[in-house]
Order: sequence, then C-alpha cells, then structure tokens
Amino acid sequence: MVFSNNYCMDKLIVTTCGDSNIKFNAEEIGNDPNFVFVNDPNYETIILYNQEGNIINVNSWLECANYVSGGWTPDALDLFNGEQYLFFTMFFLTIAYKLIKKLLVAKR
Amino acid sequence: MILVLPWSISENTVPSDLTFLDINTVGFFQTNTCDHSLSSLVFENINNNKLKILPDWNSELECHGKINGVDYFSNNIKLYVGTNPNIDFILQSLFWIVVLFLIPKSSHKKSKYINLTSSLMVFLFYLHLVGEKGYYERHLREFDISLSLDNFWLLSMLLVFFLLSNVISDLISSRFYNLVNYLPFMFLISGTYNTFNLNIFIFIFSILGMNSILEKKINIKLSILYFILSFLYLYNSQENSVFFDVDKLKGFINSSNSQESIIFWAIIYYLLISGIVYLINESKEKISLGVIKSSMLITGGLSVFFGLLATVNSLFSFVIYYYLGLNKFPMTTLSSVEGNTWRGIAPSAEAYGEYYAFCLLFTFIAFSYYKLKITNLQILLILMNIYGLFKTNNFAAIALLTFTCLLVLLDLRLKNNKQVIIIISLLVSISIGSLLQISNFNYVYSSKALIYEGLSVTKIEKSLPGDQWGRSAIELANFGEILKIEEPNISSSLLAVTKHYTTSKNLQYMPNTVSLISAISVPINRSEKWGIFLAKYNPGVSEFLFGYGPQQIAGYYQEDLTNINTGLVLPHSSLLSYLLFFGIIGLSSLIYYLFINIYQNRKSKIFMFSIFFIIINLIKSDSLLYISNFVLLVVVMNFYKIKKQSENLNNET
Repeated sequence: MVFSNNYCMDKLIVTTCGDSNIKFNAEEIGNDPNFVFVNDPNYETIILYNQEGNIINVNSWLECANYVSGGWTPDALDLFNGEQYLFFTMFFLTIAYKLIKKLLVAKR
Repeated sequence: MILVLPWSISENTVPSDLTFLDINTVGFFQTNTCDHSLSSLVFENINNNKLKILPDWNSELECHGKINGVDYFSNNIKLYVGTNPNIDFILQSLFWIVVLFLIPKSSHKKSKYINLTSSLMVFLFYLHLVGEKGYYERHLREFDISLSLDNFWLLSMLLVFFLLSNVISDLISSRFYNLVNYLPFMFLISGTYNTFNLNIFIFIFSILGMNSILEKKINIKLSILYFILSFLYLYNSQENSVFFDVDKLKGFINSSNSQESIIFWAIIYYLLISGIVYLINESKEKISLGVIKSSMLITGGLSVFFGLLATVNSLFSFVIYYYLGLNKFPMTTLSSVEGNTWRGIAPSAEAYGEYYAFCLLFTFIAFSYYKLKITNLQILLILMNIYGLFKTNNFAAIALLTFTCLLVLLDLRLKNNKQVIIIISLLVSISIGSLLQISNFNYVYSSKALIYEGLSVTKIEKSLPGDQWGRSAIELANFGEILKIEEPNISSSLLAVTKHYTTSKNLQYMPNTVSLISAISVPINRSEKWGIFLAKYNPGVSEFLFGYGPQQIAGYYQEDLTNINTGLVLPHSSLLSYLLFFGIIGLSSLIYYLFINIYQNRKSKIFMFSIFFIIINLIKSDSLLYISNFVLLVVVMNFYKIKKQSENLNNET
C-alpha cells in the first residue's frame, strides 16, 4: 500500500516495519506535541538506528513507520548515505582531474 | 554507456510473466518500487502504446533509473522512473560535455582564471538554490541548502558544479574560435536540467562572460548603468512567497520573487550577454557562414527527426526529453492536441516555427549574396525544415519568410532605390490588404478589441449598468463606465489604456494609438492575449519605468486581478515580456540601441535581413523567453561583425 508521495519511502517502510492497514501521516504526528505511540503487544520490537549511531526500540507499526520516515534504519550497515559516497567520489575525481591536467600541461 | 548504464543497474530481475505492463501487472511494480531498472521492461513494452514513461523527480540516489511507481489511469499506464537530482546533474552534464567535445578543435584560447571563474560559478549556483528554494522544496524531497559539513546533498552538488565549470572552461578554451559556428545546435540540445531550473548554456556563457570581465573586455559605462538598474529591480521587488510555475520556460526564468533570485538572474543576464558578445568579438575572424548554414540546417532537420521519433513510443520520448535537455516533454502524437499546434521536441511551436523559417531565410541569403552552394544533403535538410515549419503552423513566420525573400530578390535585381521603395510599399499594402480580407476585418470592433478582452477577464467587483437585454457595459463597449467607478479593481495598465482610449482628444485623420494597436492585434490573433496582459500587468510607477528585473515574471503573475490565474498565460509578445523585465525606460533604450545598430550597419545584407525577420516575429511571439531564441537574437544583432572572408564562405564541414 502507498502511505506517502514517495515510492522509495513507502517501500522502505514496508520492508522495515512490515505491511499494515494503519493510515500513516507523518505530518499529523509531527504537528501534535501530545501524540503518544501506543505499544502493540502483537508487534515484534524492532531496533532502529540513526546517522549519529543512536538506537531506538519501536513497539508498534506506527512508531516504526514514523521513525523510518524520519531517516532511522533497521541496520547499522544500512546507514549508507548515497550523497556522502557521491561527494567523496567527486572529491577524488576533481583532484584526479586537476592532477592529470597539470601533468598534461607540464608535458606540453 | 551514458545512454544505457544509468537505466540498467538492478540486482533484481522481473519475473518473465510480468514484464509486459498492463492492468494485471501494474500491482507488482506498485509494491516493488525501486527494485527493477527501466531497462528490464523496455524490450517487452516497446510497442505498448498505453505506456507513458515519466521522471520521478523525488527519487533517492539509489533509486535513479529504477521503476519508482506505476499508475493505472484512464486506461493508460504511467510509469515513473527515478531521477535523482545529483545523478541528473552529473549524467546530463556528462552527455552535453561529450556533445561539446564533438565540436572541432580550434587554436587554443588560454584562460588564466579557471579556478576563479569556477568558484564564482559555484557561488552563483548556491545563490540560485537559495533564491529559488520555493521551487526546489516543491519538487525535491531531500532539498537542503544548509551550509554544514554533513549536508552531503549540497556538498556533492557544489563539488560537481565546481568540476563541471572546470571541464567546461577547458573544453571551450580548446574550441573557442569554433563555438559560434555551432551555436545553432542549441535548438537541438536545449540543455535544460531535468530537476533544476537551470540550463547548461547559461553556465557556458556565464563562464565566458566572467572571462570577458576579467580580461576587461566589457563596456564599462553600460555595465555600470545595468548594475544601477539592478538595484532598482531589488528596490521594486516585494519579498513574499510568490511561486511561478516555470513549465515550458524551465531553465531560463525566475520562479521566485526573492531578492537572492533577482540578484542571481540580474547577474546571469549580464554574464550571458557579455559572454555571447565576447565570444563573437574574439572569434569574428573565424566565423564561417557556410558552417553556420550547415549547422542550422542539420539542427532543423534533426529536431524534426527527433520530434517524429518521440511520437513512435514513450521510451524514445523519455530518452529524447532527458538527454536533449528539453524544457517540456516532446509531443507524443503527430497531430495537434487540445488546440495546440504540433511542436515536436520544442517547448513552443511558435519559437521553433520562427527558427525553421530563419534557417530557410539564412540559406537563401547565403546562396543569393555569398554564392554558398547547396549540396544534395542540404536539399533534404531544407525539405525537413520546410516540413517542420509547415507542422508548427506558424503563419506569421511563413508570411514573413516569403516577404523577406522577396525583399532579398528585389535588392538583388533592382539597383534604383526609388523602384525598391515603390515595390516594397506595394508589397506591404497588398500584404496588409490580404490579411485584413482574410480576417474579415471590422475596424469598429477591432479598435476596441484589446480593451474589451482585458476587461472581460478582469474581476470587476462593482456591477456596471447594462441595457434592457442584460448586456453589460463591457459587452456594449461602454468603457467609460469603468472610469466612473472610484478606485476600480483593475490593473493600472488597463486603466491607463482605457482612459487614453475614452478621454484623449484625437488628432484629425489620425487614429487613437490604443485603437490602432488594438486594430493591429486582431488580424494577427493577439487581441485576446494582449488584452489579458493588460488586465494582469499592474505596475507601480517605478516598476513601469524600470521593470521587475531580467527573467522576472513572478511579480506579474502574483496580481490577482483577473479570472485567469491558472496555467501559463504569457504576454505573447517579446516586447511586452521585456516591458515587464526592464520597464519602459529599459525597453525604449533597447529599441533605440537596436535602431542605431541597424542604421549604422545597414550595408551588411545578412545582418539587415536577418534582424528584420527576427524583430518583426518577436513583436507577436514569446520567443525571447527561450534561451536558444534569445542567443539567436544576440548573435544576429552582431552579424555585421562577421568578416567577408572568401575562405570562410565555402569552408563548410
């Protein structure tokens, strides 16, 4: 099922938290300072990690969906940041380009 | 590799019974998003005429090129392919750099300031992101412009931009003297980024513009005057959260009203013109009319070819859109859709109609005055250009092309100026007479049409007296009734025009200027569009005098005075667009400069006929809002600088 406008995020939520019929609205939860996630005894606790390495145990599907949509992931190994990887690739490419150019100019 | 690889990376394979997309298989791809590459479905769906492939701008990096969603809608399937902004930026730039690489090398034009210009370009790019964040926040989920060391989204983007500026600088320095000859290819490769309101040609000319400043090859007085004007644009700007949906103008228009975006576009506009003029001035000895003619014809022919190819299936349409950097998806049919003329790969049928006609005119002038031969291949290309012109249905361009060619013939055959003037007067009279005949011209109606159209779409809050049959004062053309209302809720421009029409004293035998413009607008089918412009254009004194700033249209669109508040309703005249941008003072100065330029260089035939053709077309078209047409105008305005070197003339490649 589709929860948000982002297909990748929907997929991530389903993969991490499982499928559910609960309607998830991140904005609604975010705008309600008194919102409390109710524990679901039938839901198996999932451990999520954020980029800073913090850990949280989520005890309901809604809580899980909320944290996953906020960038938390189920596995420390999944903390792959595509942009970070791209940045370092481009960084080395830029240096390589500059060096090759210098060498070529020196050869001439 | 650039064409295939980004759309082929996937660890999963689609089950063989699900590869054809229809109502039964849509569900699988709705559930399994970001799992399968576009290429995994391509071959099975090559003839699937219900399929439409569209980009999903919101894609995460790892989902680029993968199927990110499918919709089944009105018996059609919309397949969303992930396109990530960072990857778009690299991939599209890389493809265009490869194309740039195909331009033959010339002698080297050394640039000493590559790192400086690249750094400045990065700063400008950041300014753009800050200024138009409203546009990006709407489209890009991960858009984040906070300057911090862990914001890799922005850091990688800025770094790519720095590298891109470096590569472009190196490439153009080794091809500098050949660039002008290949500029017509801008009509084929539009160079607009999929996810950004930016165009690669803006970067290229801006880098050249920066070089011209650093080498002190600019007009200091004009530059100072322009920057004084820029402060006025900032003064005129009203900081609010206005958002202008760029639509087909993507890449060459300001989507915001913020001060940062106004500064960005003011600088870019300056750099763009400086860059083009610098390029022409420095390489004028190497400009070859023969190569320009070939480039034009090939571009025209290929744009028709790709326009036709895009109608074959949705995959071609997507690939053409992405790699040619189109502002808008190409047409998927050969016929007109919802009253819009066939435009092929072009954002505007009108703008490309003008281009096809200009190609034909240029070829004719080059053949007539410079004896440039037309090869068999070029005859085929000419036919393709004629087909393109015919399909775009630009009657004005066709009529003007015919008229200008007749002028060329007259100029060649007749040596006596008096004879030329008499025949031209006759031709003009016959043309106007025919036009009036075709359009069933009625002066009484036509002289009021402009105001009528403007008032018809205006939200006039107070009721106006009508007649016993329920017709309103506007329908009865009693425009004076509007003037009786205290502080009427109509635009300042429409109010001024209505006042001028109703109350000004006419000179004997001389028509009222408003009536005259209105009467001209009817047979050229512009009364409605110009009327709407008047109804929406609501400047204060300062904005009327100096404008809102270059490429700044959001201020005009924010006015809520008319019933037409959705869709892209452009002024349909580049003169009116430039009135918005530069005000009456700026526009008058531009026109004055243009006429002085024309007068001083009237002996250059190619310049005279080309500029005549383009300027007349611009009066009734929005072409200057597209970067390729804009560059064409600036280049043509400098045509008189081209040296008549015999070795250049037949040096076609």
